Amino acid sequence: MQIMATTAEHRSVFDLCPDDEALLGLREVTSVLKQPVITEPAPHNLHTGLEDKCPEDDRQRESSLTREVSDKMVCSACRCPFVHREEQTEHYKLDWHRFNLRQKLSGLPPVTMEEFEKKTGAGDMSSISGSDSDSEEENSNSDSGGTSSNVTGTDNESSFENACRLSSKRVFQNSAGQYLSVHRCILHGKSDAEQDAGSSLRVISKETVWVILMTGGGHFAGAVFKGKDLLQHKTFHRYTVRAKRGTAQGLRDSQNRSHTPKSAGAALRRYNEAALVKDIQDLLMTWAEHLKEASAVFIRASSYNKTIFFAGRAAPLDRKDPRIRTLPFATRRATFREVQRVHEVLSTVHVYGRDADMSAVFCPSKKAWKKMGKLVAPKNTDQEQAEENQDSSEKEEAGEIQLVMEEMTIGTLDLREYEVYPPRHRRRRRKKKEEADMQTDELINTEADDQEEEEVPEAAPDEDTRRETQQRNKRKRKTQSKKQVEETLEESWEYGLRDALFTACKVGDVGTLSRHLGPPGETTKSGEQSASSPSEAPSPRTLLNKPIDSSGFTLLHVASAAAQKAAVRLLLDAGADPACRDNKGQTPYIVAPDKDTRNVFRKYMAENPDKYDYTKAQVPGPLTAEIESKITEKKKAQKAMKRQREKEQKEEKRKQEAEAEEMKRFASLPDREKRALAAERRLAEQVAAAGVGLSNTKRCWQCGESLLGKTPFQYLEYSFCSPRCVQAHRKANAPPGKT
Amino acid sequence: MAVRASFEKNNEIGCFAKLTNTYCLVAIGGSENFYSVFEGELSETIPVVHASIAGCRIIGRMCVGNRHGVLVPSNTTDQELQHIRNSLPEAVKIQRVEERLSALGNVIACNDYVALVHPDLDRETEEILADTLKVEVFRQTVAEQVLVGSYCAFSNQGGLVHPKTTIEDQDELSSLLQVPLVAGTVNRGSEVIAGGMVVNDWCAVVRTDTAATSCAVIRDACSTSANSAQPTPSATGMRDFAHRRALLTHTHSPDDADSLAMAGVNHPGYGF
Repeated sequence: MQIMATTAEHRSVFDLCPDDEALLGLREVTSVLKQPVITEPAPHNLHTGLEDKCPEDDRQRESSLTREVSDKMVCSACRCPFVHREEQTEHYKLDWHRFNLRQKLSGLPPVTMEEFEKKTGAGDMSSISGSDSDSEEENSNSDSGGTSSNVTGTDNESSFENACRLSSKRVFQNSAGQYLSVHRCILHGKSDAEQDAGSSLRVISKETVWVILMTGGGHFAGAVFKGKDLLQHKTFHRYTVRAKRGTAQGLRDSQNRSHTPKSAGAALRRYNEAALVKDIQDLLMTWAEHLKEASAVFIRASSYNKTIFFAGRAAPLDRKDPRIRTLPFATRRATFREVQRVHEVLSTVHVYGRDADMSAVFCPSKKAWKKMGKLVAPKNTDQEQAEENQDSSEKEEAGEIQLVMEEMTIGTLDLREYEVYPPRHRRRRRKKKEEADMQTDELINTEADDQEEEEVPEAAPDEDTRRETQQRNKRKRKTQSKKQVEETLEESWEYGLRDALFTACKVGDVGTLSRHLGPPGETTKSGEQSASSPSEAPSPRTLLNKPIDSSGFTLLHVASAAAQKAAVRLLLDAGADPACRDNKGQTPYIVAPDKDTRNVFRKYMAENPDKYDYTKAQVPGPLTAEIESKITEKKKAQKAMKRQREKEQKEEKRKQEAEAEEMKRFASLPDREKRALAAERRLAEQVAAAGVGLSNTKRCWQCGESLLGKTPFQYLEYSFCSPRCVQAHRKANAPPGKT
Repeated sequence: MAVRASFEKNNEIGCFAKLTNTYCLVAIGGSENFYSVFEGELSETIPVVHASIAGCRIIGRMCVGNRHGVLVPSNTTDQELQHIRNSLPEAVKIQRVEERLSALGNVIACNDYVALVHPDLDRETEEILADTLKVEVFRQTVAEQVLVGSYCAFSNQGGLVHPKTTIEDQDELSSLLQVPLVAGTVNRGSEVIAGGMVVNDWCAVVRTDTAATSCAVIRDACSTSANSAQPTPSATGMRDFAHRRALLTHTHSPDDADSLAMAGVNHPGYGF
């Protein structure tokens, strides 16, 4: 009970039996102590050091003006250095980096890669993917412990709002003076607030049936709990929220007939909305029995979604039912895990000691708690120990006076400290016990020394056993802590290894890859090794066929998608199964971007036809050297054919061009010349037909004498050598009418 | 478009012009003085286009671009888009993007190879950016400021960042962007770098008020480069330009501020 005087204890509401001492003389506490809000010290700025010295540095820099491209590759937001440029550029595309940028902007320390992985792995993957500030939602349940950094400012504000509004908790005090706080909604609904809350708390037992139903964004999750046990649960998901729409489009359907969305997507969405409602109502029909016997039905649904539960002809629930409650805190996407969390939160009873300051319970400012913890932490340990000793020694005498003192001075501080540092406290207590042990040991020692002369044989074994047990205890503790350290080390080591392998595959760094994977001949050996000692750290080979990133890519996928042929080959040799599929159901062969990479798979298939299931890997067929040479030959032949065809075409073209040219030339000639050309051709033909060539056509038309070198006598188109010939020709050709 | 008084005294030329290696966009309705500076210096080598975006003249803050293309916000009208398309060289791609942070110039800073973007920029915009402008995209802040487009200006040769950027951040950014960076100011000590200057590989335009020292820093920062493969058409162009900075004058009128508010953009010149 001494512990309970200072720390808040978490108990399940189902564990409190009606005759539990905690419930004796229960009366409700309603008065909220008004306490001035403690002004927090400004958050410790990690960058102050940097910023302080920056102006001088700037000036120095400006004066020197080096103007060189810096080679310091480091991300200041994530505090991680890089070795390669590729690593650096890849880093800036990571969600982790984005998250840390936001952390930095809101003045919070960066999270490490492992922490971030854990966070996204535990929560919804989709929460970080959007561009809007989804990631802040992740922080909303910061009370889960682990990382203390994820308390946002919004939490603080909302809690102050809470303080102004009616608190969602009810606080009781029992006869022992302890304070019990539970959620208001588990005791009574909105309407029957007047009922005695204490009695309704007492009624809750291991037989109490609660139903939790959550909907939102097309998701539904429901569960029936009996005490702590889960009786039934079911989740659905339908497509009802259109991507990037921002609001539920369904709202517009009911507003105005003429403005209802008419797209195909809207039709799909409408269908799915109806289907979701039907699914839920069918389910609740089958749960009717549970719903009837349930003492409370917790519903989380937005206002327009409430109709799913309350509307319709055969409405599964009645709106006016006093058992219907809404959830008084923020919840995340409706999943089975979330329902379980909600149940746990609802069923938790916080038990505070009698000297606890209840204003903190009514107004739980998480941020303040954390800060206080940090501030108080470096207190002098001697003093604490003294206090502790005093506490333990004066168990009974720690009466009223001291209690009052505490309340006046450090009532809340104490509470807060213990809230944040339970493990340390425990350790100290253990230490104390040890000390006490030691003291008694020493006492015994001295006693033994004193008595040594008299009864040595009896004292010695006693002493020895004590020492032994002590040492054993120590050793045990040590090994325990060592194991923990090893675990974390192993984790980070594994992470680093994964990272290294991923990078090597992406960049095609065969040297690193083969170093990590070992020589290909050792496949079976290392496999045996890992089989024989499963507790050992995972060898890189065990990572080979495991998805390595969020899209379900294995190392082989990564290498294949990056078209790193050598890396692909190496991975296949090392035993990476090409039949592994990513989240989209694609095999490494399918994600390969080019033919060369795909051929690596086919070649490997030809060499090792039985090693993997190639049909499953969707590799179409083996590619042996023979086939390859055939293909190249075929290609060569095709090429030759093509060249010939091209040549012919060129020839043809030239001919056509010449023809066209001639046509043009001919068309531009005057008619007379055309006629002349035609005549010439005819003559030439005649000549060719006769077999004799007339070399000279310039002759006298009458006697046939050559006219070359003479001035001919001409009439009409005829020309002659002499006037006699002219006369003779004219006579011979005179028109018949004249004679 | 919104009717405005002429901007006779506003010095935030980075708001009213967008300068890249293959084109230069200037706001319509400016004074002849303003245009003559750009046209006199640039029109022999690259087209100087008079344009508006989404009815606003603060085109430098609304759009982002480099040698390969230009991105404009989704509220750009078809007519404006057509005009820009017709005026720019064929090789320059134009793309409209649906982005919540519509003042693209304020949230993106880029040269021909890399781009620095606001941490909250949409993934799709990031992809379009990488495809259209052919850049590698990095999410980072400059001196704890998310408006990276406003607080730094860089070309392929070098750049200027917010004066309060720490040495560590400068080193990080420099190694990330692969250009030398200098912390400095423009506009008589204004830390809104991109509002006070526009820069490409061979010239930088700064506003009238810029002190001689700032001018020298800018010239040194943006023109020389240890590892540049790009031919630099001399620092002379830049020097000439710096000398002619007296010609660059603009107006600041309450009317302008109103229309900016209407356009729903963050305009560094008005200290949102």
